[in-house]
Amino acid sequence: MDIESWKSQLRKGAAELAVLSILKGRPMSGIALLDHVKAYSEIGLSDGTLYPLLKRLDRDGRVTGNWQLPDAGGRPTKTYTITKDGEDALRAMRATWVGFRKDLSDIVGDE
Amino acid sequence: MTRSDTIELYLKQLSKALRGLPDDERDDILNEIGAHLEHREDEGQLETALQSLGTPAACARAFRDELMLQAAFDDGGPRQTFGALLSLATRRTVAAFGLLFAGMLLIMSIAMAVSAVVEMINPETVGLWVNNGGQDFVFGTIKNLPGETYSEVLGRWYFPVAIVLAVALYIVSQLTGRGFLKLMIGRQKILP
Repeated sequence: MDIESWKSQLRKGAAELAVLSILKGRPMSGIALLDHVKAYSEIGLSDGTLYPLLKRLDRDGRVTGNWQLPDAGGRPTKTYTITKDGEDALRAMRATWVGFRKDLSDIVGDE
Repeated sequence: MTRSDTIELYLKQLSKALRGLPDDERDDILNEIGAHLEHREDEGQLETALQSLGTPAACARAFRDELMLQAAFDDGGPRQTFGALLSLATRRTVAAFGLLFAGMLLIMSIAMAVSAVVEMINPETVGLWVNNGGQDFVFGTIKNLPGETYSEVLGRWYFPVAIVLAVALYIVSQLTGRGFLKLMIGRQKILP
């Protein structure tokens, strides 16, 4: 079977939950987010998927992006901060995810 | 080709592939992808970053797909939702008036055909009356004949003229009706 296409379907909703969860901790640039999720390859966030997702979240009003010059000098980067709407969405998504994970684990099993 | 030329070329192609998006959206995407690539270039990771982004066309498609998704299931942007609804409603209103206009043309066409039939049965009550000055006229079937200042000018020609007008009005009403119907049911573009 085409496992890759199934994986990409599975990851679509998960990526948004992951990004909002990370930004809840602290504001980050796209580069910093990518470096952060590098360790979690199963989430499937890459350069090519993260920026479009951030763009949509920005237009949705769930995050805001601001260009900033680093204090230490260097190139300007766009830093993303989660908004109130984003936090509300995250709370609802998280509750859904916890129930979803429990039910599916019961059905599918963890091993 | 130096590394910066590689970035320039990528951004140029990406910009082309993003055509159709509003300018500010496109500039914002180009600025961010540009900053990302430069950052990775500083780290010596440009090739990996380019691979991960995919071709400019694929990268642009990913942005379009995400933004389309957002527009289709919009729950966060009242301005966009209202704008889209307004534009749809405007189209609907124009289409509704157009259909009304086409309907009126159709009724005129039927009236014309009916007057042609009456002309065959009762020729005196049907015709084109023009007053002596030529500024005023009455065309069709009337109950009370106009005053003496009017004279009927078409005579036996009334029948063919009425038939031609009936057919012409019918064709125009069908064409406009179909055009506006298409406008009404036509797919609404979601993206600005």
